[in-house]
Amino acid sequence: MSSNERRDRMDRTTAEQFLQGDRATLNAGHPRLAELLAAASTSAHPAELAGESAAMAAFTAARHSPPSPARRPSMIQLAIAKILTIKVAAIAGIACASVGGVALAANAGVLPAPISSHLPGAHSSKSAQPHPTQSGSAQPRPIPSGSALPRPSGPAGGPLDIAALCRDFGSRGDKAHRTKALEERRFGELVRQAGKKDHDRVEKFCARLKPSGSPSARPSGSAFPDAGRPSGQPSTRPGEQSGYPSDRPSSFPRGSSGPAGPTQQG
Amino acid sequence: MVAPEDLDAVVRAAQAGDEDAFRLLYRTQQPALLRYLRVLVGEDAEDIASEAWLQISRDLGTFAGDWAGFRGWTATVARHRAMDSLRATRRRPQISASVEHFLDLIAPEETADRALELVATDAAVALIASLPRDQAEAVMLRVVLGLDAQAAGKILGKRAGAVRTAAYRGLRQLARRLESAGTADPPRQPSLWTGVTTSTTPALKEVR
Repeated sequence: MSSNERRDRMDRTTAEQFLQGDRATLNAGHPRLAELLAAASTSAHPAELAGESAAMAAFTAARHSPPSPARRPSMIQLAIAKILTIKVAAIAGIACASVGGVALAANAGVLPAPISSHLPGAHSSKSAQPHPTQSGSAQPRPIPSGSALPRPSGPAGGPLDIAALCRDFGSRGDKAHRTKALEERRFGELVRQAGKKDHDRVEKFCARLKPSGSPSARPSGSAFPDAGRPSGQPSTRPGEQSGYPSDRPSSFPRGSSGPAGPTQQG
Repeated sequence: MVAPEDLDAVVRAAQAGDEDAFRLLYRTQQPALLRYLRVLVGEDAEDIASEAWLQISRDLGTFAGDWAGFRGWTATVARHRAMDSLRATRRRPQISASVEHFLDLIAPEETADRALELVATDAAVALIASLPRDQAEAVMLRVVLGLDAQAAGKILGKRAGAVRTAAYRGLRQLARRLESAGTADPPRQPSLWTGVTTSTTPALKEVR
């Protein structure tokens, strides 16, 4: 049959050539098919654009309320993200103020250099800022201390610092080690306050401090971890929000749709 | 027609909020989406297209890509909406298609008429829709939406090779039917009609 011969001319190569835009091949071999596909892909008919004003209205509306309401990140999530963002901003602001404050205090000479380098916890708040939370971010290592003992002497160096130095000093093994440790720069303030770079003298000085407060009584750092925690969390939020996939191409069912097309007869 | 390179810029402008740009995207893409949807959901195509454009306008800001990407993305959105609709109604669209009807419509002296052109387009789409669905979708995505095999495969969840095969089979099937209709004697031989020809195309013809 002639139709069979013609059918055979529609081979894969012809089809693929046409699908890639080569209309001439198809026009030559299969003019009717070419007509059909041209009719199917011809330019817009006015009737097909009847929904234009609705689409434009949707576009305008979407511009005025950018985050899509029906999307996976719900309003609640957005609200939480917002709250967290504000919180972080506040904490960051306070932390900046705090660091600045400490720096200012150190610069102004309020803090003795060797001490300010490791434990500004208590006196930084005394000297510069009203908030106890701040130094947490500036000072990652909370140092518990025997609290409010009267400052033995000297204008500088808070009691917390000296107590910490004493504990540190006490932890340096035997007398020989401790004596040696007194040579370290970090114990300079302790030596100064004890009055002499002498093991017994320092030990006695520290012993006098001890009774007035138990080391665990008031950990100056205890408030900081809490205050600091949120700062890690919200930074992930905005990313999630903006990065959700535009659609879910993999989720629709692939060929599962109902019965096959009507049987064709040739 | 606007060149594809220009449409890349139009996509960007629409994403930045330019209404005219979005209008141009709509006018350029809507006919193809509508015809594709007609293959999927029949007479519900216009409603589904409206839903799709609602989502497109809403999510345009999250879309990343050029004009080619936009065509694929909008086809994906339209297909999702169509699948949702089919799941909800649990029925397959009844699309009437007639080879003879189409052949009548493309008679040279008649195609100058725009209204008749629309009918011819509808008839052509209906013929494609009468193919097995994987073939019909492959032909529509590649020919009407202008996607390459890879992009079409992404939408259909198939590999590019499978899409090529389905499109090829669809085209071969269409060619066979069109040609055998021409060789057949009576112009409106009943066996050449697929599906049940009821309202749509004749009605459109009457309206004209």
